[in-house]
Amino acid sequence: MTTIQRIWRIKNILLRLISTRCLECGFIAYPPKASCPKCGSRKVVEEELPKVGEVLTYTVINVPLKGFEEFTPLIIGLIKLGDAKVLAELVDVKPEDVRIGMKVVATLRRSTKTLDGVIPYVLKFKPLTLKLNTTT
Amino acid sequence: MSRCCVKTGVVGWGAYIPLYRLRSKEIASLWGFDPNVADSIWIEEKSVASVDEDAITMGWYAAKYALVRGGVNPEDVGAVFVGTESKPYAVKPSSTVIADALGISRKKLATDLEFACRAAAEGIRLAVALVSSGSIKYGLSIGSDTAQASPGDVLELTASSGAVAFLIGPAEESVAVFEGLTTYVTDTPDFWRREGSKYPSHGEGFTGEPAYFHHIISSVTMLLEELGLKPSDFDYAIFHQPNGKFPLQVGRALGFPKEKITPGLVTPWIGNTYNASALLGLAKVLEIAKPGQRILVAPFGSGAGSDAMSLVVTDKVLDRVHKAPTVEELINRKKYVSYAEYAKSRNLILRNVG
Ligand SMILES: [Zn+2]
Repeated sequence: MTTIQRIWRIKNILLRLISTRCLECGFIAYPPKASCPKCGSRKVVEEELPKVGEVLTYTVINVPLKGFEEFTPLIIGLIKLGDAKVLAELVDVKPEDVRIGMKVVATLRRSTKTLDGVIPYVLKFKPLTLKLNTTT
Repeated sequence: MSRCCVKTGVVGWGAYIPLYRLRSKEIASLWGFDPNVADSIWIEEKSVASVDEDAITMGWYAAKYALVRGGVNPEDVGAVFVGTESKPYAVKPSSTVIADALGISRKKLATDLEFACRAAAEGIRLAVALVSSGSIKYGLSIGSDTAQASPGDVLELTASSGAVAFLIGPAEESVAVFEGLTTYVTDTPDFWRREGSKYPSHGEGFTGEPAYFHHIISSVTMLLEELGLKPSDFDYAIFHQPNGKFPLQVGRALGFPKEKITPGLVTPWIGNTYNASALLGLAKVLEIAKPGQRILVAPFGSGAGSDAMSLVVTDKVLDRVHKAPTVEELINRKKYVSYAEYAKSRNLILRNVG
């Protein structure tokens, strides 16, 4: 379980997928970093990631951390969004139906309550089943 | 055109219906209802929100696609209203979470409105007033509910989840332009939920004639008189849909034939989404309407009140329909769940939470 202070501080990262792009080597860091984790350059700019991507790999958690019981089984996917890779929860899909390479789209969902009882809203990903004319 | 809505219209719209459905027959048989009860009110199945969905998450989705359809920069939105009777917090606005998540300007009005199922309709009226007075360029009104019903209450057949959003803006950018708006409100105790109560109550004898029928008939009659129009001047009529039967009955009483009402019906297949109910019907009609057609929409909220609105469709509608998922696509995209899965995801099971 997390805290209200942390959720508020990183809300743009959680709600809009704000990353940093390195102007030296092009590496995209998510969550965003003050300096590039790959080349160390401090020349980085904030960039909102696309909201449509594909599953690179995933894992299924049947014995979750305390507080996540109602979301079990929890499916955590490594998702490719443009040039970035993001770890996020997969929803609206059963573990046996997840496929590597599956197209997914970001959707706002509740995460488990903070220690003070606040509801963190985060972007999770669900299978892309409807035609969207946007990736943002 | 009446003075209330000079040069304003719907610039974009977006809808959201959760993936999951529960068949009404399953609810009826579990609680031993008369086997014909679901057919008698015309409810086939209802949408069920997932465990991690609520009025904020669903409203976000609808609002996002209203902005996509309108092609509007979120920074240009000057007001965000959320009409809901199932806000996740008793005190802490939903509108601010949705606005921040969509990157909407910080210089804005934002509030949650409550008036049973018609708060989002009042949100539209407020947005229209703000746009038409020149106070803002665009305003969003979002209707979003995860409607509650006590297990075994007949309300459980219909109470469901869904959201819809309308982006209101200048007439010259609109897919449909407002011609007139009237609202009729009285104190009528047909349905309520007290602070701290998990489920609502309904006042027997108040729900039909004195509430739903009286208020909708009054608001629509006032609108027709004000605009000098008759039912035959409208191509579509959409009424609040607590079930599939009431909108057809109120339409008949007002002189609208069934063929003008069925295109805007959503409740038989997704249940009553409360603040999204009639407005999802409006979204569905915009997705099939032709330029020049005239639409009547009359939401209703218990307590009680009804808003009647007349809109004329423009040629801009055609390009915008397929910029985002349509109501029809969202209705057809579904997975069935059992009553047990519904009870788990809607938090109806008492658990020991450590
Ligand atoms: Zn670098």
